[in-house]
Amino acid sequence: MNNIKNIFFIFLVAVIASGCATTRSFSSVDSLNQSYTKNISTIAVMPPDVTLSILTAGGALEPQAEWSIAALNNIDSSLVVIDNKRESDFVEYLRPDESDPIYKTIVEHEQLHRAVGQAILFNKLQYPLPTKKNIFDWTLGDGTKAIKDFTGADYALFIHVNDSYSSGGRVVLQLAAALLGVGVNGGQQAGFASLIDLSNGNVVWFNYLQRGVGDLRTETPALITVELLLDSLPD
Amino acid sequence: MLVIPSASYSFERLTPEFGSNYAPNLAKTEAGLWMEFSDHENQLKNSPVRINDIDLDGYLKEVLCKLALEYCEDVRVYVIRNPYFNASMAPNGMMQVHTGFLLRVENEAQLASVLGHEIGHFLKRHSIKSMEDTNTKSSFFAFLSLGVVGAVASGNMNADFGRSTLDLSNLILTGSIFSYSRDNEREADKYGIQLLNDAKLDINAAKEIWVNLIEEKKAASEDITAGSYFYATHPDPGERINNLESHAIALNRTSQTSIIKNKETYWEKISPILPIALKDELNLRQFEQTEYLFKKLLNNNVSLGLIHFYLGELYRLKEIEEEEHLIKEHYNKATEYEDYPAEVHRSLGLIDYKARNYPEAKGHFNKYLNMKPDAHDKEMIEFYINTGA
Repeated sequence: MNNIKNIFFIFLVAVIASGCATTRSFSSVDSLNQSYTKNISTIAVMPPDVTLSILTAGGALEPQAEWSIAALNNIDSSLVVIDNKRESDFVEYLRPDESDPIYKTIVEHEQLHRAVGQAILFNKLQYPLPTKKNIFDWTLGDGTKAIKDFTGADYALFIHVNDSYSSGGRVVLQLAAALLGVGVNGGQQAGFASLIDLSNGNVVWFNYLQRGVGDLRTETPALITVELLLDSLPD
Repeated sequence: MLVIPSASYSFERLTPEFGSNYAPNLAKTEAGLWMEFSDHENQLKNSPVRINDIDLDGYLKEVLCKLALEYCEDVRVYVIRNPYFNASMAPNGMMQVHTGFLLRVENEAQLASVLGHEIGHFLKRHSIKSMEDTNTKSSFFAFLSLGVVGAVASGNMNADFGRSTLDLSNLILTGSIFSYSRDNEREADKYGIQLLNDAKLDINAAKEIWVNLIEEKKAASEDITAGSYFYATHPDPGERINNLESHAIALNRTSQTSIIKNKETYWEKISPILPIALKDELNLRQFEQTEYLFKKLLNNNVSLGLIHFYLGELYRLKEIEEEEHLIKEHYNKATEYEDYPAEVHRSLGLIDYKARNYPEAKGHFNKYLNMKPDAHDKEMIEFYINTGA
């Protein structure tokens, strides 16, 4: 009896420790260094697209600027930590001035990544298309060559994270509903990241993360999220 | 909030809800909204749907600042390529005006009345208040639903009654949300006319827009003053006209009102977007409405060559036998004006070509290519010139 209890307890701890997270990833390359003659590949990290919202009792998501900025800062510092552990280099990428013609290209590609990422989630993960079963051929198009020239990097890493936290009122609703046997969901954390080959715009790696816990407004959970998100990123 | 016109109605001035150079407290939800809209604005600025004419943007900014005064730097206006009559204001001060709207405005005073209306929304924080109102009501409804569910589950309420209670509550709630929106529109109308008057522009311009819109829709056999207003986000145009008239009368009593319209200035500045706006309007294929609008535009005495060309195009697309003579009539009329587009000759050439009048067709096609040597359909027209008897 004791043994079973122990095993169960260990299992429970393991589940909680993993933060009830699920990831799904796709990759068309094993390593970044093999196909290029340079010793170390460089990856330009595009400004992460992070939105933290509050989930009201009525079910509306209200985006919160202060939380989003805090999360962005935590994600940025997590990226530095991860960079130090990797072979290929994250290159610092400074957003150009608005008057610079490349600015428009970069803004357009950030939007494009959002759209392509959603398409991948929908057509590969949620409702897998028969024609995409064994193929992973999404691309942002060769407009990315301009970004390659501007940043001087081989690849670009795009990150998109949404997270929501229940408001006080919603928590009350969740408890009251639970008493009646009705399930009311709390905030959800979901994110995706893509690695783009800047010479042709191809998505060479994509990962989707869903987590039930992890407050991105604090450093350690943010690091765990970013580590989970970039876990399978080829080196 | 509903204005009751009376002989003794006095205009109480509206004031802004925040100071100029405003930035919301980062911890508030308002900041989150601003963040989302800033992102959207960034995309819009660089989007192909935005018309990026420096002179036009400069003029719109000038009119905006005449109205917004110390809030001039808090708002930005963007011209969007869209044939529908609309202008909107986001909570962060981003204003969008559609080309379809600019086409239907008759002068600077009318433009200013709508810009003033949008500024009113901004200065009174309507978007944010609306969102808070909706969220409060939705949260209330969530708890109410739970209460009803609990009552039914515990046997204290009949299930059917519970369901109909929820339906009714939902309906009342929805109605309340839309009514809040209409009240905001009334307040924005009032603020708009106040700003218009302060800027010394024709105070009657405010209601003219709505009068014109009703007339235009009548031409298309649509009565926009009838119909259900339960789901309406805006008040009935008839009511808006009455309220704006009352405001104008009240303002007239207390201050020197103006009749300055600045019509010539307006049409001079708008002219760069006319070709695109007219083309997009015609593409809607709402011929009665478009015919009414194009004919009205002739009265402005500007860009007549362009407008006559598009009237010709309109009748060509309508394909009504009794109106066939109008096609050539308008194309030919267009050539009397300096600004007529090269496409007049292309269209006349194609009519002649179809009727097998090849010499006349060639004449017109050559004139087209002379006027527009870098036409994108040059090769096609050259083919027409070289074939045919």
